[in-house]
Order: sequence, then structure tokens, then C-alpha cells
Amino acid sequence: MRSVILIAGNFVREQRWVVAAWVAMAFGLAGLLAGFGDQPNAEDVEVYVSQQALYAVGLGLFLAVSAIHNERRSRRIVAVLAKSVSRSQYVAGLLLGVFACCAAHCLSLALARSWLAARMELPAGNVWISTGLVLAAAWLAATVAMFWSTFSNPLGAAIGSGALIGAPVVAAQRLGEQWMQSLPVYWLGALALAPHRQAGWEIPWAVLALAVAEALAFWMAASWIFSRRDVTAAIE
Amino acid sequence: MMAAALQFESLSREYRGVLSGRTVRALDGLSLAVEAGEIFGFLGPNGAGKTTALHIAMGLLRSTSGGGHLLGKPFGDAPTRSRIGFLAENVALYHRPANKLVRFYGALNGMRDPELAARTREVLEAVELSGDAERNVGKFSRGMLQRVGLAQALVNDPELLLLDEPTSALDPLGRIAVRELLLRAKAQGKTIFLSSHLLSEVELICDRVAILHRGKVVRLGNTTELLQSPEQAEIMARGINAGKFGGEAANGVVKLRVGTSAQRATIERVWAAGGEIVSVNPARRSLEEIFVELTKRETSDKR
Repeated sequence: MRSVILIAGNFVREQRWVVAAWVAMAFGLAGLLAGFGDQPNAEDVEVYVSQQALYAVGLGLFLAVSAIHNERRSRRIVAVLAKSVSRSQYVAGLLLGVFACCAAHCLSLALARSWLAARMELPAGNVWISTGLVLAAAWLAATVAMFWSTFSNPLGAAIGSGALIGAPVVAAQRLGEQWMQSLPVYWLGALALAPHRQAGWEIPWAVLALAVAEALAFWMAASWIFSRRDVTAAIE
Repeated sequence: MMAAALQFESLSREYRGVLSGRTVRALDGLSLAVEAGEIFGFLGPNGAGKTTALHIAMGLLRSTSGGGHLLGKPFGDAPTRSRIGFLAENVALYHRPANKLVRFYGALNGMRDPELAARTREVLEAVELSGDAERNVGKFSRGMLQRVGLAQALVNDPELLLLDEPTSALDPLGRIAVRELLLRAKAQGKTIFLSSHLLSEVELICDRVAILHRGKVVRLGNTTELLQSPEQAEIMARGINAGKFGGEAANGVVKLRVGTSAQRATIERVWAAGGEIVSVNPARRSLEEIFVELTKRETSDKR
């Protein structure tokens, strides 16, 4: 577990400027919304939240599709995997690092939303739970992307991830609404942004448990594939 | 007899071009055993398969067939790697202060404070980077990076060191320091597997060497025995004309290299010419001569 945390911490450190940019964007845009007029416009805030939720999932995808590729291309992976680190620990470390980066963005989003709600003299409501759902969606998307990135280049991994994440939406249209929850990245994101979250709303524990189980399955599959892959091409 | 610290068993590796479909055989049934406590030199021209063999041993690449053992465990066993130090050719490291970086790699091997802190200081001192320990390695020269690479390989006090060109970017003083460091490690009972192009370095410190060419071992043996040429003798004589004998003159002494069958006749010729024999010894070749001869022979045989 210590190796996983070390790799994750190192990954966050390597991505600190990307994370800083995302956090600055969340606060900066919230500041702009709050700065014009007496009260922020409710519709503008709604758009802002949707946009930031999308960016959170995008950040998870962006970091995960390129993590292994960048480490291999820079050859920094060699010194890490030459230590007492298994491939599954390595993948878990990168995933934990991606999660931490997304969590930093989601935390800034939750804080910004709470602040905007206070400026609008509205109850903060389920801001934190809603942001938690965005984080869950981002992390599930990241595990899917990491799975693809073990055997594909970043472009292929992005296309594959997009197709897999979008498949439940297509399946729901053709086979029934319940298919939306089969790989609930979109479903969790949509739920987090749904207007009904303010009243009589309950945390979808069953779907969250499914998302966690699926994330674990994708991590295990990614580890299995990655442990059968060469990490260095011949330098000679 | 001690168990082999590193063993390659009929190891083969092929690379297949994705677009061309062309197959290149990097290793061709490599079998080799490195005994515990020795410094083993692994030589070969570019493309011989040295790095491929090392990367397979470290579990970074997979073999097409065959396998091997590191400290008695099959290649790729992660816990075993905590007892191994590895330095890759063209070392690539994260851009962090040198001491934090070495600590990071030590911690990945399961080390904890206070041992980790002490070892970090010790190895940075051993590679002469104590004064730059707080500096970011992103600002280091190639030679300094190689020394940090060595420090991260040594931080866990490994039983077995696998080093791929550890001195290629170092200046002569740096090379001497590394050579002394490796000899100290050997004296502590560590095993060192050294892949290098610097034949003079290998000649100075290695107990045994293997010369690899096109994925196969073409020569393996004790360094001293390998450098001696049993079929040739080196005669040092004084008071003769070097040109007439086909020898090389230096400081009034003429060096003659002759086949052992012609040794007696040559000595008599020197005496007949009024010369004096200073010494007669088995001829000694440099590792470079052997290396060039073997790789040229193998290349022409393939044609």
C-alpha cells in the first residue's frame, strides 16, 4: 500500500500545474459569476456547475489516458518498476493519483458552489453530495481510460473510453432506461446536476456500489493486461 | 558451490515490426550464470542484446522463450527486486531534489526512516553529490544524473547490482570513483553485473566476462585467462635492431611477439645477433583486441 501512495503522491506532484489550472478555473469562473451584479444569475450558475462537472470527468479521462504513455515515453517508468513494485501496484498508484487530482478539482468546485449559494441566499443543499457524485463519475471514467491505456496509445484509449462510457446512453435509448446504470459515468453525472436534487433526494447507494465494483474490475483487468506488456522498447 | 545470483536460461527475444512485419532476434538462446560475489562484465557491440537481456531480468520486457532467475527467484518477481539495484542506460529520473529523489526510490523498496535517511546521505556521499543533495536533478549535467542514478540503485544496499553503462557519461575522475565504489561493493560480498562499452574499465575490475554478439554469447571466461594468449609469447630483448626482428622498440628495449613454436628459434636469433633477453612471457592481449577480433569474425561468419 505504501508503494501505491508513493506513486500516487509522485503523480500528483508531476501534474500539479494541471491541477492548479483546473482549481484556478473553478474558483476564477465562480468569482466572475459572483462579481457581476448584486447576485449571481441562477441560470449562469447552473451552466457553470454543469461545465465544471464535465471538466472534472474530462480531467480524469485526460490524466488517465496519458499516464502510462507519458511514463513510458520519458523512460521514468524504468526506475520505478525496477524497484519492489508490482504492475498492479503501479496501476493502482496512478489511479489513486488521478483520483487525488480530480478530488482537488471537485473540492474547489464544492467550495465555489457553496460560496455561490451563499451569495444567492440559497441553501447549499446537496452541494457536497452532488460533487461527490461528480467525483465518483470522474474516477470511474478514469479507471475505464486507464484500462484502455494499458494496451493502446492515448488517442486510441480516449476513443475507446468515450465509446465505452457512451455505450449505456445508446443502450438506454434502444433497450430501456435501466441500461443507463450499467456503466454509470453519465448517469452519476446527470444525477449530480439534476434539479430534483434539492428535495427528497436520496443517495443512490446501489449504483455507487456498482460503480466501485466496476472501477475495481477495470483496475484488475488493467493490471492483468499491463503485467503482460513490455514497458520498454529496445533502447539499442 | 554457491548458487548463481543471476541466471539466464536459453533466453530468446524477438522484436516484430508492427508495420513492416520484420522480425529481429535480439537474444538467441542466451544461457549464462553469474556467481554470487563476482563482478561480471557483459560486453557486446550496439544491438548485441545486452540491454534487452537486462530488461528481461528486471521484468521490464518479456522473453519470447526461455527465462531465468534473479537471486533464486524467476525474473519479474517484484519482492526480489527490493534486494537488487538497477541502473538503466540513459537514466531518466523525476525532476526533484536529489536527496528527495533517492529517498523516494528507497521508500519504493520498502525502506523506512531512520535507515532510509542514513542510507540516502551515505550513497549521495559515495557518488560525491552531498553538496548538491538539495538541488533539483532537472538542473544536473548528464554525468551528475548518472551519479544520482547510481545512488538510487545503491540506496537499498542491494545484494545484486545490475548496471547498464554506469560510467558512460562520467569524466575520468568520476570513472575512477565508480570503479572504487564497485570494488568496495564486491569486497562487501555483493554481486555486480556490469554491461559496458568501456573495455578498459571492464578489464580492470571484472572477474569474468561474456561477449555477446547478435544475441549469442561468443566468448565467456575468466578475464585474466581471456587476456592471455597461450599460443603467443612476448619476448623483451635488448641490443638488437627492432626493424630487423619486426619488433617495437621503446626505452632501449625491443618487444617481439612470436608464436610459441617460434619462441626458441627467436631467442637463439637474438643471442646470435649479440642481443640480450630481458624477459619471456605469455603474450597478453587487451580486451579491446579480443572484442574487435570476435565481433569481426562473427560478422564475417554470418556473411
